[in-house]
Amino acid sequence: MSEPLIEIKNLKKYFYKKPSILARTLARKETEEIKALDGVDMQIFDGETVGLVGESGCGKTTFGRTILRLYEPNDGKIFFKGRDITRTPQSELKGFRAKAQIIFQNPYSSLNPRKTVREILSVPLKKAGVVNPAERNWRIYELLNRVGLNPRHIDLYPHQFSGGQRQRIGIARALAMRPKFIVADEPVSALDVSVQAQIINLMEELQEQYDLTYLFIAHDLSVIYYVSNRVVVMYLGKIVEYAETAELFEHPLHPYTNALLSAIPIVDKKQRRKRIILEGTVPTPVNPPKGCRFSTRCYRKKGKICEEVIPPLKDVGNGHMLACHLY
Amino acid sequence: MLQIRNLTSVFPTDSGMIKAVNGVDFHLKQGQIVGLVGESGCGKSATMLSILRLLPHPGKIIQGEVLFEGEDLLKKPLSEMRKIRGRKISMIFQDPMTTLNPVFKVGEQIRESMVIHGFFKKDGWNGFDFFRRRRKRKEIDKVISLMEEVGIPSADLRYYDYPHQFSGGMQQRALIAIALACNPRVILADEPTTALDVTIQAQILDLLRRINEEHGTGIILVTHDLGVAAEFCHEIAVMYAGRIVERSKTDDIIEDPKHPYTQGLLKSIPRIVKHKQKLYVIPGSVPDLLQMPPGCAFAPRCVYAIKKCKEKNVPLTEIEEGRYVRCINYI
Repeated sequence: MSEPLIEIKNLKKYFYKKPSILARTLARKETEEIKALDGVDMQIFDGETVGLVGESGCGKTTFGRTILRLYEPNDGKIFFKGRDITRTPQSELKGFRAKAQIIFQNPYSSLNPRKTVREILSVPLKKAGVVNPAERNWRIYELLNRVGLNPRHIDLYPHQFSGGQRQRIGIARALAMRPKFIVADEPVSALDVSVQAQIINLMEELQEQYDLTYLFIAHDLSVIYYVSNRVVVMYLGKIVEYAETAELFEHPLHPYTNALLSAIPIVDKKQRRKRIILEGTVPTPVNPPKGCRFSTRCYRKKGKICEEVIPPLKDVGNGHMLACHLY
Repeated sequence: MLQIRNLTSVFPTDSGMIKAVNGVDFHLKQGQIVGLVGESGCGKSATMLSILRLLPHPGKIIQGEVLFEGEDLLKKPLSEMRKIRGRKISMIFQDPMTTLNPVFKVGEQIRESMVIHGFFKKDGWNGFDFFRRRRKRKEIDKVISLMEEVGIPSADLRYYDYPHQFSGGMQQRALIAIALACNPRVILADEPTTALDVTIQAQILDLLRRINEEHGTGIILVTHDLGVAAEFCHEIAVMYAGRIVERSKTDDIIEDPKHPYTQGLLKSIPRIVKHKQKLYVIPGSVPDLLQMPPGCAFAPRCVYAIKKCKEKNVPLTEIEEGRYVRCINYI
């Protein structure tokens, strides 16, 4: 754990929403800037699972996609194995693409309905240079076996599979290139509890077998607790807290983390925390609060400083990073 | 107050009858919150829709009774059903954005439900009505106070907003306001928080609990999240392939589940505990509702299954006071 596999420095991604020509000329509306990611720093080490949590619209998915260069970052740096890949042209990213893959959230929309499993899995294999069809088929059988699908189903179409099975195809597709790093963008949110357990177990087995590194995005905190070594909490395009899983769940410091943890419904009675109910909803990223992003909903606000100064991400001991004025 | 006996609903398809709800029995007492838990496709929503006789075509209720205040809803003429829906029993649906009408103002939609049930006069020609504007102002004020009650901030302005101007949580609050408008005895909530974030989910569940305590409204909450059910409900019923397999008080079912399916379900959710164990996986998958096994529906996946399980179906039996299990091992 010395050299990070992926290092991200001050990553920014803005989206632009251009008003209609009528609104621009008549109402003098200007282009809106949606700050999906606003200065994120992170390091991901070899072989670990980093959990990323936050509410919808806080930039989790954008983050996952931007570090894979599926979105072009506006500012900041991405290092993969020490190499700066932020501005490498897409045509030269092939080597990186083979090493970093993604599993998408919705297994219903992420597979082409007009292609069979064989065709879907052939694409990455062809790119990886497996030209011989016989060898490719053999590799596909191996992949299907590995993710727990029956190789006899190789010529079926995605609609003939259940949600859990489709997610397995998505995992097989990501594995085809033998990657080092996989961004799992809410891989289990669309699945039922019992299927969810199967997929999580599968992902853990694969991690052990192929020595994978995961960035695991989810909004379900108990899933995150189960799979990850470290947890990152995001709020409105910024990291608010970042620590080892056990540390974060036992000593959450940021008020937002506390509220988030208290809001998860827990089956066991003994483990329930006193519920902190947050007022209101997440502000829009078009016009985020000036200081601390959470200041509009914070129940432990210190005063003016929270509203005016953006708290920096600081180490508060044991690698526990925190962005809050309280500490 | 609401008693459901042997309710069976089917969907005829080209390849055969699908029994979405297969002999469901349960009851809701005054002021009680019952959770209906199960995986997708197990018939939770179909049960809710059957209670209100809202099953979409070609779904049909072929058997059973739904007793509400002593009367069987299934025998009532449709015109009377219409008076009960929204007035005595109202429903909150899963996806608020598709439930609200996008072309009408939110406040008007809440008012509409009270107009339909005769709390307010009908819009349009009512004879010579000299105090129409003053009356309408009063009605709007009443709707606004209702919106405030469900926690919509600056309700007097929000009354005139359209659904797309509301956030997901606010839309769900508006739906709850519609459901509450006529002060119903029972609310059927079909996954009311599934589309929402955890912090918003906490707000909505808190609101529903408050309504339950203040108005004594009975709530049936359909959910697939065992955590939500465990925290929110007094009683939990677990459904599997159209049948209720276990029903008892929340604490009993969580701490000491009896049915093998409930046990498996509880073991397969990730928990926040120190010692990490591999997640339990229930072997096999949900049976095809077209080719249901003759005996217990869970038998092909059950670790305790014996020969008898596959032959005969057992009824839901009371094994202790208030604990019902549908399993041969407890008879």
